[in-house]
Amino acid sequence: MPGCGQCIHCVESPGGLERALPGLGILSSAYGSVRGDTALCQLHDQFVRPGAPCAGFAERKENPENSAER
Amino acid sequence: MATVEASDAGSARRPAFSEFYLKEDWWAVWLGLAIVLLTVALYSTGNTFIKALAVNPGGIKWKSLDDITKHFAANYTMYAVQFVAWAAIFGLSSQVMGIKLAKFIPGFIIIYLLSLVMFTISGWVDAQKYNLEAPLLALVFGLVVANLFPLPEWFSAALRVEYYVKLGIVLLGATFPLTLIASAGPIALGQATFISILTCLTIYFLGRAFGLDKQLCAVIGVGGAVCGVSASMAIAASVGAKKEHLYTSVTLVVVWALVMILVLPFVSQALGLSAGVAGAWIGTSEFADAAGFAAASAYGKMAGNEDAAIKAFTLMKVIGRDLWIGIWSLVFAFIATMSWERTELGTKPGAGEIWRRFPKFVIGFFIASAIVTLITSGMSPDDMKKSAQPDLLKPMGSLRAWAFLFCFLSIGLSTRFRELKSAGLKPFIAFTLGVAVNVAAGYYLSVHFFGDYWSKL
Repeated sequence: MPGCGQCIHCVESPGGLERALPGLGILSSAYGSVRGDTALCQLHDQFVRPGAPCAGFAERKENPENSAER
Repeated sequence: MATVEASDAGSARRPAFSEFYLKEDWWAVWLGLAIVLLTVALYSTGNTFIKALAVNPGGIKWKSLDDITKHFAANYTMYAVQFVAWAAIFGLSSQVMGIKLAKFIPGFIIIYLLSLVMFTISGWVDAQKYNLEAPLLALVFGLVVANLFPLPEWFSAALRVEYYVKLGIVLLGATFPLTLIASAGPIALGQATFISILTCLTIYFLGRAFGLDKQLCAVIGVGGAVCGVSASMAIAASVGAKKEHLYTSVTLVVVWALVMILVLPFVSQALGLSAGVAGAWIGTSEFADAAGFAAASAYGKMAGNEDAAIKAFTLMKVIGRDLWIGIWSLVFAFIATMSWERTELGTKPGAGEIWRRFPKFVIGFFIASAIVTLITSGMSPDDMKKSAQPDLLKPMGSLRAWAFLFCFLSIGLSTRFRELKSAGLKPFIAFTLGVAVNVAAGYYLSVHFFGDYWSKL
């Protein structure tokens, strides 16, 4: 089963994470190395690694590389 | 549930080397080292362009408006060039990371102009008498504006607190002798590690005693012990933290970090602490680099020795605490995997976690330190005083001060208290008691146990 990184519920981009967590950028940053590849699963409202398997997986069709972040 | 559009999701299919151009840590390394190498190269040939470019009104000691007018009339061209240089390096790198240049530049124009005003106020001959230090001025001004007036959404694109401070830290490395890191690093590491473990365990077990989730206790525990929200974010996936856990960490860290920025410098002043001792104390007490540099820089200026306060803070915070975030993440990942209940979204921890979470900008700090240490190692004290100090180290110190001030302004302007979520009473009490233990133990070690050492910096 594909991991979270290809799931429609996964927010992995730094811009998306900072919008999902208002205040994150005050004394931190989603663009930094310490975040690594941590993403936010909007189905479970939980932080995940992109490789995590999940029964709620729904494949993302669109190409996220085409979307501007901010 | 507040959701973000799926198109905001990133991709797990990016090439492995994408980290080198998509993470601000690496951009801080590339840009910081490029500035250091360019400065060294021009210094070696006797070219004073960087010295002129690093112009800063913070040191003019003006007595009248006429003094200010004369300063800007003589230097307006270099201020214009300097602005274009900052806007280009921050704007273009941010564009590559995904922040649109068209949104970044208008906001950065405001940040630059406000920084110019803050520096100018702090350049008043009597500024020190009234504690009108640029870091505190910028922070307080930003907080007042952000919380009294609505700011446009596009403005937030330029409020890159962490990016500015990371570039500033790499530039700081250029004025930080490698020999000092080698001699003082172990003491800083010992003190910081003891305090970090003590604080983390205090918050974690108090939270558990109050009946809070393990995940929440871990997230706020490392937030209070290591490096604030960044540490919370680093372990969030490892422990399976929920979104509301991060909200709690953001609120607690921001509120206490701001309180300490505004209180620690004045308490240090009231206690008559030397700049080095206060810098070490602030380094063990503050959670976030940006907040800590604001407090250490402010007190350093108040005490008349900013260099010592910044150096002690950097040793304690950047070398003593930040370096180890990957290890903390790995430890919590193992604990969560081995002894907590398994979750559907869990992944196995691995040693790669240590490198993945490593704050890469620290590499730039060390390389910058090594470069300048090598260049100046054979110089006589006279050459250092007459040449390297004014033409090499001071300009890089001035550029670092600019980067830090962009950061301090951004902290204030991005802190809108109405947007912070309520943390809840139990997490607040657990975190606050952890902060109290942290501050008290940090004071004892910095002032009484290692006081002689830190005061000599």
